[in-house]
Amino acid sequence: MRISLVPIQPADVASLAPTIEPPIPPPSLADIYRAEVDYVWHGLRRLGIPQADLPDVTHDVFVAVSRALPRFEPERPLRPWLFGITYRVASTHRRLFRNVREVPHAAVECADGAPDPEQSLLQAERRDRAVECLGHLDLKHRAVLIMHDFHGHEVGAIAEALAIPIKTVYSRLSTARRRFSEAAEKLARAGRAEGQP
Amino acid sequence: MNRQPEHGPLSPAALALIEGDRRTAGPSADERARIWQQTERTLAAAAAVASVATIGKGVSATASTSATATAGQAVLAKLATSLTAAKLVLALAATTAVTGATVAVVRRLGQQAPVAAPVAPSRAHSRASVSRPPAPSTVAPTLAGPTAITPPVAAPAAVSPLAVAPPPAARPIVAAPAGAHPARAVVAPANHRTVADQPLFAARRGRTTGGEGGPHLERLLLDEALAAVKARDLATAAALLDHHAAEYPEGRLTEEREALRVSVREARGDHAGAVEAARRFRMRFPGSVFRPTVDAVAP
Repeated sequence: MRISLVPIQPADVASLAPTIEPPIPPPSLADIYRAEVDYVWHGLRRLGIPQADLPDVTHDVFVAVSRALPRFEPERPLRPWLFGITYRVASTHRRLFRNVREVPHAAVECADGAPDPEQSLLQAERRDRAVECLGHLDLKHRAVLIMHDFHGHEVGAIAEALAIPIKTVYSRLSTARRRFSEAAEKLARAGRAEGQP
Repeated sequence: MNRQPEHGPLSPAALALIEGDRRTAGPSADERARIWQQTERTLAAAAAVASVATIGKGVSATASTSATATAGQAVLAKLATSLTAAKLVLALAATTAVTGATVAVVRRLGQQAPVAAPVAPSRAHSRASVSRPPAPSTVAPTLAGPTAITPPVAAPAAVSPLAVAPPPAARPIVAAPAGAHPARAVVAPANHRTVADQPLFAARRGRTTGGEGGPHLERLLLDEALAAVKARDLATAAALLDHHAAEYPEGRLTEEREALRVSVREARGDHAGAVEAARRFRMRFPGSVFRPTVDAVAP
């Protein structure tokens, strides 16, 4: 067997050297807050946190985020990771306060700042309808549905964020979609019966 | 090849609801600013509690070393006399400090520096992950006083947390009448309470503020206690905490105060007092964000 000995050029060595990319700096808490406070707020709202408690629980989420931030890998998408924290904080909040007091949903109503009060009421009703239908699901099914169909996250990211197997995500998503659709259809029929749009 | 399980599609009514919900507005600018400000304060307080715990370890180590070195009846008797005298001086100093600090706090009312809250751009909910600005900002929790963050991008609007004027289209809060549809809010009169008027934790904790100075003085009193901790003046810090407890027994910052009390007691060498304070803290605030620190200081 003949072995050809081709002299190695410096350019070849340079091309063989692994390219070391500078590490991505982790985002600061202020960056995350600025970009994602809406995301956290809506996540909590859809997870069933009452409107009056949203500022407090949003605060709790970002305190938790500040603690978890050193473990965040900047190469990974932020939002699913953030929702995982949001879900756990919301879960704790519901567990702690469920037996302390009953919070009627939206007992304190905040208008949304729209110039037209009628538009404001319509928007509030539409928002409440979605949350009302989500209320037919337990929290674990609700979380999967929110992540997949409201926020548009991939199944793999959902599985990682909620620390569950991918097959469980599919199973929960199937159940959640069926229950949510049933509730939405029921609500739509009731609305048609009352002459609402 | 992994076969993915089937999951049924959403009904048209469900899709319409999701679309409608995606157009819902997020928190107002005032709410964003107040949530951020409270988050900063909580983190600063947690850092302060942790720093007091560090001081406590130092004090304990020093105390045990000096006790070993001066083991003798005569020396101990002399030390006890000195300690009694020192206690009197400390008590006097603490009283003076409390009075002085309270006066200072009253003077500072209305003079707080504005807090720059990060401004969240209005974004549609998309699959995009967070956009990272080129220069990361620094959020350094400080031990006392109102803090400000350095914005990484365009300068955010400065919002004074203590004098938030509701915008023209401020969200009026109206309690829904009994039996009415929750979404059918009544249009609020001009002088109605708005979201900006509500203290952040009032709804959840349902506590009264107490004290004549209101929430601002309550905050500033605790800030003075934190400043005393930072200056390693633990006697003054303890006195200020007692003063705060007397003025605001059920104040909105009770949780923060009681967490700090555990650490201050431990730092002053009062281990039994710290353990007792920690026990009461755990019973009263089982889900507190200060719980890990309290557990570390006085398990």
